[in-house]
Amino acid sequence: MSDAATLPRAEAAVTPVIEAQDLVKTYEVGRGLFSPPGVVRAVSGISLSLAPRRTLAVVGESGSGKSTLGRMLALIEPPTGGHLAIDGVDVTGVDGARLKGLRRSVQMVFQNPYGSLNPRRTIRASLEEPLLVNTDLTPDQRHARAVDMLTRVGLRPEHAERYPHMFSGGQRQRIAIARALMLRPKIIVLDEPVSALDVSVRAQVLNLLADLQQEFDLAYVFVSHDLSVVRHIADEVMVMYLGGVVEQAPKEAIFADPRHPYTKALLSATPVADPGRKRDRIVLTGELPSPFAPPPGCVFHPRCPVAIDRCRVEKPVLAGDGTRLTACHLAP
Amino acid sequence: MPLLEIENLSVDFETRAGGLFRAVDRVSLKVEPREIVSVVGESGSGKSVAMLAVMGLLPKTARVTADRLAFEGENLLGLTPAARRKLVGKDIAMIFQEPMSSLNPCFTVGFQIGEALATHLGMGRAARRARAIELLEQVGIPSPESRLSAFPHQLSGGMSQRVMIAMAIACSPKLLIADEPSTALDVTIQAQILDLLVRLRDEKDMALVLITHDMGVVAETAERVVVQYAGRQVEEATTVDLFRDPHHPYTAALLAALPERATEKRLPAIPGVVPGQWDRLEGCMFAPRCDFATPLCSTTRPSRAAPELGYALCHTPLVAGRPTERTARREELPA
Repeated sequence: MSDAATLPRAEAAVTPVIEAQDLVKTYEVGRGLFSPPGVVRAVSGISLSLAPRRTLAVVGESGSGKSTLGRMLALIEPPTGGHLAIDGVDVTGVDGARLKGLRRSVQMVFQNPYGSLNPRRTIRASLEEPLLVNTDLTPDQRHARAVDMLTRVGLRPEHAERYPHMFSGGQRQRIAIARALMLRPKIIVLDEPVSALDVSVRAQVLNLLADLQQEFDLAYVFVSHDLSVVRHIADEVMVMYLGGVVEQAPKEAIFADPRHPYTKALLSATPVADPGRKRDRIVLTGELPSPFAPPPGCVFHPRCPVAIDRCRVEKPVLAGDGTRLTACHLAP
Repeated sequence: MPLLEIENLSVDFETRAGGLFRAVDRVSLKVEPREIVSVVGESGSGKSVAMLAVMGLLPKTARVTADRLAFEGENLLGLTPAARRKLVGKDIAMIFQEPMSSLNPCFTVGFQIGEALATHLGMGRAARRARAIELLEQVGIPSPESRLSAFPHQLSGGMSQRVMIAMAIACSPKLLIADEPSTALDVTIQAQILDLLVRLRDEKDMALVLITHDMGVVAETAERVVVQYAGRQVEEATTVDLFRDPHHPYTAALLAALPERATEKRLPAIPGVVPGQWDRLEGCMFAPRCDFATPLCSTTRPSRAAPELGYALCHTPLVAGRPTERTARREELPA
């Protein structure tokens, strides 16, 4: 298997802030009183590396494991196997106290801004909490930082004393982003950050994310199912299917010349706001198979329009020519 | 004769403060047989409420008024509730955004499809079963006989939406209203559901009203588009015309803000937020966020422009991205 770290980057000399090797996450799931627990491989064998100021988009349908990967990178879920280094420090197997320090460098923004803010606390209290837990700042310093961050995400200082219900979805997502930035992290994992927002507000939040990335030298892991947003914001794209990576490449390459049949289908299924466009949709039949019993061989073969006999028995490995990686027997 | 005619439909809700909140403000729409019309707008634009009013599914706190609300020439507002129930579910059917929560978890799929057949067509048990199998086949559910006895929790999101569609087309409706039918689904499943709806339109000669917020879905599916903003209808045009040359500043800004149409790294975002319940304006609802707003816009409600300008609800509708001076028909402005 090729090493993801060999993917070329514009600033190859910069040391990556995330390096992952063969990350695996399995869950044991009870299947009734008298059956042995089943094991679900939510994520299997993922390698990646990400430099500051770069955005890696993780794309896939529900059940593809993209959110689980995001949660592992954000240190919310410990990986079951593999190695993960955040900012040069290996985090697999470190104890709780060390982990707490490391968490300062990775923060997360969730999909639903209505559920991710505590409705009983003021915005100021929500923003100050990370500082209260992780730093020795005085109350005045904490307040100053919270107000400063609010203005940076485009809200006003007087908003600090208000409660979440007084804000619209777009404003709440700005607050959630401000909270993630309070500890000046190096990496932010964004799990579908704009999919709950209206189109006119979505553009505001995407612009804000782009500005903050430049200002704070952030690395983004952008988990999304919306390819038109990914095309706009990403530098590199990782396409996942049933827990594994099927294709990983720079954004331009993925959108100009997708190589895996699943990537092709995903791109052709995404509606494009251009009525004159010639439609040659590849409509996939069927749905994602059960993760309890993944199909033998290539996990995509039951839905693949070009599957051959080899696909049914032999699992393809993620391989490529150094610039891009594809897990398909038929890939050029 | 148009299948559905709506003229100046307004919906007001009684609020707890005692006032009225106008969720839909003088919306007009005509749907011809076999046509696919899309109603597009952001949350709070009143697109769902307007269609729920057509279905008669709004709660008692809603007050529906219209100059004309007719289906096949028959005035819907003059019907008795019993007569209206005979129409709804038979000739007009609707599917909803969350397929998982619109099915009753306590009954099997076969029972729920059979309900409409028994109520509207008076079919017997065996005929219902045969028809339900046929319907499930039409919406592309594999092994339909065994699926009849499945409960909703045993189905995936895409399968649930197919069952909802099977229920909606059970009595061969002439009009199907689809409220965000694919929003909760994955893109590959969304493509399947949209293709299914268009195919059913072709096979069954029904008209389709597609409520959505996704401009991509509009571009690929609809023939005509109605754009709503804060309860008002701001523009109406054929899909090709709307995307080629939007005439209302809101439509233009909405299209420009789409990431796939962006030409630069920075998206041309629309500043501000959609007006809420308490900050509805006297003049144009879009004036505070509009690049082309004049003092007149914030004080006077605009009138509709000519059909070739997309009936734009704007004092200065855009042509090729530039505002035009229009001789406002003053006599039509509300006092």
